Amino acid sequence: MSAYETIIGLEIHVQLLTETKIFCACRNQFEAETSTNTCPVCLGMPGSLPVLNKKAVELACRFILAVGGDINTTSVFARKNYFYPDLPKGYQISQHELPLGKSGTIRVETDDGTSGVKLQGIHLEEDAGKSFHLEDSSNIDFNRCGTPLLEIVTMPVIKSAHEAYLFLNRIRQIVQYLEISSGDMEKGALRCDANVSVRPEGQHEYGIRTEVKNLNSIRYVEKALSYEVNRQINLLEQGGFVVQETRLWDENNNRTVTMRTKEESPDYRYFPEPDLPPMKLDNEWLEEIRDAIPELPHQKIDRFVREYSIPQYDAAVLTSTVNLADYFEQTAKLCKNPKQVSNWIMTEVMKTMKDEKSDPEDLKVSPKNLAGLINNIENGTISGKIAKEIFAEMAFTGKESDEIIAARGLQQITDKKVIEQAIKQVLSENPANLKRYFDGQEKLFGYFVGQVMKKTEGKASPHLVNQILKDKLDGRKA
Amino acid sequence: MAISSEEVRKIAWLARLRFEPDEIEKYKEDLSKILDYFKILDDIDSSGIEFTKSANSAPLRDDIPYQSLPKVEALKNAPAVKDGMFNVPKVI
Ligand SMILES: [Zn+2]
Repeated sequence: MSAYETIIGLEIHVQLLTETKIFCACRNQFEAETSTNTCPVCLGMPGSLPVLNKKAVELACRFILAVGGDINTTSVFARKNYFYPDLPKGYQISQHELPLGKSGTIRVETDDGTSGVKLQGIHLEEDAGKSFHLEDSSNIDFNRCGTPLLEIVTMPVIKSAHEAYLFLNRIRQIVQYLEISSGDMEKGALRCDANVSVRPEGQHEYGIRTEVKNLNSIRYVEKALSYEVNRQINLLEQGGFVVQETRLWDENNNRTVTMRTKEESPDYRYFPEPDLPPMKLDNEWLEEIRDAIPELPHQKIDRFVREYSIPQYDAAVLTSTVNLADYFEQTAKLCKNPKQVSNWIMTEVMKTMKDEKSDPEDLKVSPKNLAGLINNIENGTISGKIAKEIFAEMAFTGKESDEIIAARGLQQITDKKVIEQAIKQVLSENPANLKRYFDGQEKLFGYFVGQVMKKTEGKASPHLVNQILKDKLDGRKA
Repeated sequence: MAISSEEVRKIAWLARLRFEPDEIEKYKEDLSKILDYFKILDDIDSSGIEFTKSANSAPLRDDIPYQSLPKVEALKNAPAVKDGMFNVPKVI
């Protein structure tokens, strides 16, 4: 099989976290009781007029400025005409020729370094109603109709299904960091369509592309795009050709299926929205928005690597959410060894959060208490193994580690005499294993260590047990 | 400006309207007349005038919720109502 190059461009829709809809003052809460957040504007009644929501514009500008895009201080809304029952006006108010934002770059950490995905355009538009398909009819809830959407379109520069997944993940993270959207794909707050093409390596022209829709879960994105890439390569390998069309991801059968061909593609007849004059933005306001932009995920990753000397992998995990990153920083500031903090958060803390389906804020182990526990290990008061038990109790009760250690007498045994005594007992209780050890089964060393730990209820310093046991056995051997 | 039968058929499809053959002839004439009427605008010298140059910006509204329609009112214009939603012929 010859080598192929994959080219993917993504179109992402992000629901913005405003109180009200984009063109009317109905609440932006589409999960409310059906048909309770609608009015003549969002129901498309004749004679009603749209009025732009300032907050939606602000959130859109926050994103554009955060990713280094340019804002068109004059932008134009346009009508995108098509018929679908979830769109009561018969057109969607969107932006076309002069969108709010253009260019900008999103950094993604890939397996072999970082890549910068360039954006083509970023614009505002309104969401449609939500359809529920029944046996022989469809229900439409217009609560969602008019929810502000930010559409982000990338250049065709993404080189694999995996990179597309990483990119989408990063977009989700950025909108959460910027507090402009929940970014929840399962709830439709973040949706994604993709343009996919392949071409033989070295070929200059792009291959024929297909559009893949319905990538509505972060889990499906990589799977669906891999499927589509392989489907196209197989077609070309068998001497066939790719047909330009729109395909749907069929999650039940793990494949993409034809939705409509190019001939059936809609003619949207975009034209400037007569009900809305061009939107003109004030530079001073844009500067205020720019000044309020928080540190972004990739900036946090770089800073964590620099300030705490932890691996990039750790930094990427710890910065997955702002709350987790804050939790790490608050803990690390109270400890000498940030890598140890990172290890604890990536294992015990994240496991507990996953089990409890909780956020760092809800965790009963505060950063101060986690730091206390880690410092107990670092200064030899307890072993790492006992620390895990203590952590479990901390997570359950919210107590400090010192309190639990004192109450349960869990201080690590560092008294060499006590450890020697335990070793002596273990060896005398296991003459057969001892003989086998001297006969060459050196793996039994670990068994003896385990027995000593058991005898001391896990409290002996593993470091000292190893050291003393080795001295003792080496002494006997000689 | 003459419009072809083909164009009338396309426009009808885009508006989801079905025309009989004699109607197509009629709309060919009507639509051509409408376009001719717009030709009056050609006499205006609009050189150097961009529509984005209008003095006013689209007004921006504060993000404050206002009373929506009562559910009963909202559903009054639905062709049919089911489960408290607009019920329409099956799509997809
Ligand atoms: Zn409304």
